[in-house]
Amino acid sequence: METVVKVERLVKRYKELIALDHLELDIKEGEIFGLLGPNGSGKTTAINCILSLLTYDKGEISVFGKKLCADVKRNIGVVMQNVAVLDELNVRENIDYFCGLYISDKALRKQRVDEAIAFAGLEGFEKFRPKKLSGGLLRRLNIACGIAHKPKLIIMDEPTVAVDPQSRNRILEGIEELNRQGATIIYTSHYMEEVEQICSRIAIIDKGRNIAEGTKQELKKLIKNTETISVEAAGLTEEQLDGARSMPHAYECRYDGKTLTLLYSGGKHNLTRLLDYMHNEEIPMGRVYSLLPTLNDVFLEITGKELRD
Amino acid sequence: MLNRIKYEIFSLLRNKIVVFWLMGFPMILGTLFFVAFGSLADSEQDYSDIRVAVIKRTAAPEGFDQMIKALSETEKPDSEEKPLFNIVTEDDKKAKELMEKGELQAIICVDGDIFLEIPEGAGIKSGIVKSVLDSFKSRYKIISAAAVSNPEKVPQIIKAMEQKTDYIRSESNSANYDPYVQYFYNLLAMSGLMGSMMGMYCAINHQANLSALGARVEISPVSKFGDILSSLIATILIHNIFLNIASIYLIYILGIKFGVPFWVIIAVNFLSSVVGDSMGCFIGSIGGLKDGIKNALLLACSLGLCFLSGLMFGGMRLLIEESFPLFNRINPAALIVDCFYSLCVYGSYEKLISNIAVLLIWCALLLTGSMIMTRKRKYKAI
Repeated sequence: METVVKVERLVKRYKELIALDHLELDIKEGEIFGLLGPNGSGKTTAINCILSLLTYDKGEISVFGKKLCADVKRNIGVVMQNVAVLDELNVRENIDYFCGLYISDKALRKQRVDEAIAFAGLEGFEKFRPKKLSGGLLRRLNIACGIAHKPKLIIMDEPTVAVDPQSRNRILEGIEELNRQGATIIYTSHYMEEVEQICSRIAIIDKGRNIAEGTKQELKKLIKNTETISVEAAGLTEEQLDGARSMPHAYECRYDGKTLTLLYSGGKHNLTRLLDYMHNEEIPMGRVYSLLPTLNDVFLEITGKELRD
Repeated sequence: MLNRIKYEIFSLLRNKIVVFWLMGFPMILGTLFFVAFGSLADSEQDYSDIRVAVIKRTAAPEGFDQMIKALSETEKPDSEEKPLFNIVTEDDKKAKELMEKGELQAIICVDGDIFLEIPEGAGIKSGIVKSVLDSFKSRYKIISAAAVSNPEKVPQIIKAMEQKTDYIRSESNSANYDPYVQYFYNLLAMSGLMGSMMGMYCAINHQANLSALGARVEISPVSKFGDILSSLIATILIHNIFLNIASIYLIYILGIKFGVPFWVIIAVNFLSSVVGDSMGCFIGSIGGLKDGIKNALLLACSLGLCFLSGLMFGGMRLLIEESFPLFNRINPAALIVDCFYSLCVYGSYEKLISNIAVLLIWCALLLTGSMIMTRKRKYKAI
């Protein structure tokens, strides 16, 4: 696969603060590439450097194998973190205005605007001005304005911030659809669920550094934990707890008097084995959970802090 | 570019705040001015046709007869215009009788020197006669003294006085000039400079470090200069339409006599909109200032400059002319007002052209400054 965006040893300083510390990214054609990191980790700064809006102190950036120029920009669509539309123009006019920055042919532009309206599910709202739209529809308009010209590379900087779950799902489905249509997507977010749901490859950024990169599975393999099982069981004795601790592949056991939690590293049938043990010991049980590791666990284990601040 | 201009125009026309401040507000304020000054203007008296008696007991000083003749005749004998002086009689006795009856505003008596007799409780008309005579006497004294001490400078002094006399004549005789019309000139100047609010957004909406909209535009392949220019063209166009609608309202609905041809109003409106929008673009381009501060700065600049050109107090421009005349030569609001005033009062296009030239310099400076500040496409921080 061809490299679409390559970032090498990128350093960006704001006076004493190092926003990007030798950041490395290699984004391939056809990927939905997630940039995951807590607020202030450098995601937006990285995007702004890629878009050549920000100067940087060191490093190299290439997009489609070139430095950013007008020709390259023609193939990029950006969905900003903040909604950037003109308040006095209606939905159709806004999309047409921003599409007009890329496409001068009127007929082609009309076709693209129609497609963008359909894609964003804004049919019936064409004559609405932004102030009359709900938060979710406004975000969708923001996306439509960024992608109407059918770019090959779409950069989305936290497009779902402050959006209700229903609209968020619609947006995420739309992003996957854009990817299916052939666009490479860079998606930044601090919502790990979103990144897990749609991204084919993920870079976890903290303090301006790319601390881990790979597919979801690859990232999860970086950590010890492979499964966490929790069982509601009150009044366990010390002997019973020792028995739980000695379960194969269990490397950590926590008990708060009500819930027993076991952390596993590898192994199969861990849940069955634990339930058998509880049954044999005649321990009364409540609800039982088996959780696979999340990107937050990956982040927590690598950095020692939660992804969400 | 046309697509962008089209949508910028739509955007401005639908912006209620813009429409109110640039068209509604001048019309409302103009109506208030009209209501406030209308009654004052109606009560203005006709200061021509002052009934005067001229009694000559001795030979009059040189130039006196010519002055009296000039002031008792009109420039166009066929017109309905009345001369300043109406010489009722030259008979001493009859003059006294008329004065007692209150039918004379002044008796000018030449008896060695020039004396003036005015009735008790004399009004403005008598005051005008006194002012004219005082002026004549002081000039006569200056020329007489110069003739003794520096006879070679006499022609120079007379020439200088003639120029000043021309000015006084044109001002006092101008059929067009209504002293309250300058408030309406100021109103148009204010509307021109208030357009700076729109100009400000031309810069803000096209700079990534100033707005998200600016970022969206800057990451597109369009030329930044072309983009700001298209926005500025749309802004100036709409601003002009608003200004001209306000002018039409003032002239044709309220019946304000601007005393200048309408094409001059259109031309000056165009120029004032360019200056206003450029000023806004310049202030808007300054990085590191919040929008609110820029707005406040522009409001302070627009209203401050208009205050100094006489929007709130008509005599302000004259006060500045006496104490710091250079400021009136560079204050855009004063220059816009002077474009109308000079043409209305002096009837000469010379002053109009020089004012326009200074306004054009302002436009060039402000636009160059804006372009220098907005030329960057990469920022240290956003």
